Amino acid sequence: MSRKWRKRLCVWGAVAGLVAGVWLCRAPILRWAAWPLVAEEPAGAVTAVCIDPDCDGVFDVAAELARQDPSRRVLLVAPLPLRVAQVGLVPGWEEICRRELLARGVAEQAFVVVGPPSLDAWQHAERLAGWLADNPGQELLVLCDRFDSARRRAILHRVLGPQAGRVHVRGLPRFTYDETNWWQSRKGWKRFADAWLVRLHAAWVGPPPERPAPASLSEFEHMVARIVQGENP
Amino acid sequence: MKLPRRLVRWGLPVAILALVYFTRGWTLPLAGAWLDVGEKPQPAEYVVVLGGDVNSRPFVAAALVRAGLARVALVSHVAMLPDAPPRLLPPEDELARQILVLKGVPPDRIHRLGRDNRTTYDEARALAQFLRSAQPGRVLVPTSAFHTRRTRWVLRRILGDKADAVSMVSIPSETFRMESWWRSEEGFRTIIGENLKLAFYLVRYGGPAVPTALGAAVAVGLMVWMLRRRRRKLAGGPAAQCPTAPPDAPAPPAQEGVYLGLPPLGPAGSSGDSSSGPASSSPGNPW
Repeated sequence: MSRKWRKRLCVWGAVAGLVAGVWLCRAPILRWAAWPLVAEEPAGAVTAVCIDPDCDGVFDVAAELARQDPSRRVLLVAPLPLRVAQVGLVPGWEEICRRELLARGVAEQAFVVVGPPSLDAWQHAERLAGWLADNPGQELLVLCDRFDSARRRAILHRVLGPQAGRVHVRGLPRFTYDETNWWQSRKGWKRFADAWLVRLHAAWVGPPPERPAPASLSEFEHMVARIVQGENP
Repeated sequence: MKLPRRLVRWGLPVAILALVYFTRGWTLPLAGAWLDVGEKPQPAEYVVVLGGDVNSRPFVAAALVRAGLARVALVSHVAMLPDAPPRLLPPEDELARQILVLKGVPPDRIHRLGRDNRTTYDEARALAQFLRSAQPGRVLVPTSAFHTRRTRWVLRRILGDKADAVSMVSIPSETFRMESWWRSEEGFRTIIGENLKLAFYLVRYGGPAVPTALGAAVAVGLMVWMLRRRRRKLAGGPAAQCPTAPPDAPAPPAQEGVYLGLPPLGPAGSSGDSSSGPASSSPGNPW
């Protein structure tokens, strides 16, 4: 066999070996790809827990933490109200959270609603900064989606500055996937891609330079009327 | 001679990136705007309420029925996923139905579409199945503006000729502005994600044509690359070609034509050290 062919065989063999190695080690590689999205900080002696109602199992974890120390408060920085809540078909976030926490044995007075609803994670962090400023000596644990936790921590660090040490972040896994098996479900793939996109955006762009004001019910009805008439709102 | 080639190799992508960056005011809005293929609503028999956004789609569907632009509302039955939080809110199709009734659509003009739909593709299949047995008529599909292109593509793919009777109605996003989507996290996530989903749909549901075309493009690219590499070696890499050459034999002086993988301009051997093949140009070559 000529030297040329030996060299070619070596190159193709190396490529095939690399592909096989990647395939065999796909689980650790994919786990590693999700690792930068996850923050897991020790809760320590936190005096309050902030919940995100969109997380799986968040009420169970918050109730367990409140049971461990009954003086702990449970904070909600409400997301924007759903339109179905505005028209009265479902309760608002505040009522849903109160109901779920009470059902798990959390005392009524432990539940605190912070500030007006937030449009995004940056406003959420600003609301928490305001609460921390009003409540010196409090330490806070933020419970959020696992794949969103590193971004939330980065945003909190940026917004809170030196006060960031008073806030800890714990990412809660979804019921069916986390960073160890996200690639096995379609939802895991979508969440993984979404989480990376917003993580990169938060790192590159920082706080959004513009936030459209949320439409009121009447503004929304006006917009719908224009859609029906074929005008582009 | 190497400098211009390196400049082309590295400078061209950098120039393209720079161009994209400096024209981002035009190019980025286009990446969002091209997703919107909504049309002016025309009178139709059916209006479809797709799953995924209970905050706007049922409201627009109800308004279309109320305005007399559609007669029957078809509400997609969305699958309850196993990892859904335990019933903080009612199922999405139930909520959509309640909104339609609240907004004045008679309950007997609301029909369920399919069962356990998980994706837009499932919903398109359910619509195709419905249209096979229902009386024919035009269909309006009100959906988020960025979602209209993928929905229309899927409907065309599944409904075939019947897709001509389907019109997309765009609902603008309330959380970001389409003309500056990259400035907000929601816009960035949505528009990039939607373009990725569209690419995924093309490959996943586009039939054999798309993967075949992609495979052919990759194969052609590989062949061109290998041919160019081979020609370059034949033209300028004598040590690699001649088994008798010592491994540390110096490479011949490069010429423009030879280096670019082209035959030299002058007649072979006319200038002494230029030739069309590597054998005669190698200092270590006994021939």
